Amino acid sequence: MEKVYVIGVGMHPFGRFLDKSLKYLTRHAVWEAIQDAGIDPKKVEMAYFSNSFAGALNGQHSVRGQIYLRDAGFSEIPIINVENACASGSTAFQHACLAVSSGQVGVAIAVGVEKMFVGDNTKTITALGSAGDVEATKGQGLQFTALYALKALNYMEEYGATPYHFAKVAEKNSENAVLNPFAQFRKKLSVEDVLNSRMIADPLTLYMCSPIADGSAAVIVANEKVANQLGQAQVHVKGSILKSGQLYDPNNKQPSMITKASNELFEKIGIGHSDINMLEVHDAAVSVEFEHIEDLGLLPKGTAFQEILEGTFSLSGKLPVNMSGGLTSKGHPVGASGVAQIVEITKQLRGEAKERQVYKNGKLPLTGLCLNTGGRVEDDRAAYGITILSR
Amino acid sequence: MENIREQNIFLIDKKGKPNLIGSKCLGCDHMSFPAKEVCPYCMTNGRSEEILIGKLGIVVSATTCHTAPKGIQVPYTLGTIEIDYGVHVLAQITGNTIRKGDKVELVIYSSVSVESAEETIGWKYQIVEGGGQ
Ligand SMILES: [Zn+2]
Repeated sequence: MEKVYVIGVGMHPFGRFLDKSLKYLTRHAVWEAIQDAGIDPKKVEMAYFSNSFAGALNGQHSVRGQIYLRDAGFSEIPIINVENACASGSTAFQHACLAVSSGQVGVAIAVGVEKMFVGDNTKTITALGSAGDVEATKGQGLQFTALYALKALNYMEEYGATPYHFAKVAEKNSENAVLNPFAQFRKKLSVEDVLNSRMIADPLTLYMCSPIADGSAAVIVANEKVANQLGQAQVHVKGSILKSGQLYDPNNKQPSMITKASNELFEKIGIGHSDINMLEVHDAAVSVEFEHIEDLGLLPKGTAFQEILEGTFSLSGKLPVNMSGGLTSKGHPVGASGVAQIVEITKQLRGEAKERQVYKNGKLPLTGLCLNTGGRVEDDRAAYGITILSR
Repeated sequence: MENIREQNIFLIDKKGKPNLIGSKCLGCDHMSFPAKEVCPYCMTNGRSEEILIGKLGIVVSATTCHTAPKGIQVPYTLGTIEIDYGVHVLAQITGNTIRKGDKVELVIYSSVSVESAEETIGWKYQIVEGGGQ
């Protein structure tokens, strides 16, 4: 197996851009990544294009990658369209890595793009609801915020957390986003702002939930030979894992899929939980940060909500989480989110995160983890992607 | 009265009672909803029997939603219901007060879209009269 390196990253800021097309958003992120890598774009041999809703929202039901990447200059090379709901980005990234690690190509690109502001937010919420079994949930009013609310209620009941703890996460993520020029919301929120914002799905208020967003992100990966030719010290893709949701256990005895998948990944690449210096997790609602940190085995179950009060997950804390502002503050353009997590960890590892740069004992961090989840099947999420990067 | 069957999800039986359509694997006894020909627990193919379930259930958790997809009026309640054999289903729940542990029954409703005038027949759970805590 070839070693895989991230040689270039690019992003278009997340936010509301009514005048910017999917073609524009794609071209912007792709060419930022090409320039960042300093590579001849003709060297890119394969592309994975991550998008979920250009069919439902923008009418482009098929060959999205071929259409949008043509506008960025790409033809002839294989382009694979990836759709795994909110986990599309990590799925595309993992497959770009697989194309390189298998030796099939020397350089591949993963691109995530989404345009969710289409002038009718109900249309967007309805499209998002199709990331579940539409036959089994028809007419129920399935929306993901409600699923996160149900999880939040369970966490509160089991461990004694309150909405205050969730608001602390939103506050922390908003502080990080203030320092991120690519974030949708760059305004510091207080706990009071969060708790007093309007209720979306009890106990989750507006500022506890990730917003609808437009945006794009791109990552170019390459084998060791190409990475060395480019010169600079490159970020290494230590490993990644992709899973689908597990079957419902009526006895509720099995570990979560996040726990199963992360244990498998840690074992495979031979590093320990204590090697993880920082995380980008999938806070489609802030309440899941606790679940994600705990299920990844980084803290014991039922303790993360107390750690947020100690500043553990802040930029200067022991385990910084969502340095980018996370999905709640940076924005959540579905197909782009998983790719943008890789962009953030790469910038942190390179020491290019400017005001939101994380340090470990005065030095740049060595290893970071991304957790990206998406969709729903029966009683679990549909897809899970975990990636570990190091330098 | 004929059975009324919708997309293999629910049916109204000859007595006019609504049921969800589940399946039981004859290989490993696991229940599935929606019903499946292949059991996802043991991957036995073609040895499952259809079982009508979900006439009654218990609220496991519920949240009141203040935004909604198309065709749903706010506020509404979405929750997890435990039905026969410990199966969990996600469903809309109606009732004046909805709390964990409440008894619910399956009901069929029909709604007509204002935009397309199309009629939809759907299912949801309703708090059983006097079945609250
Ligand atoms: Zn079976």
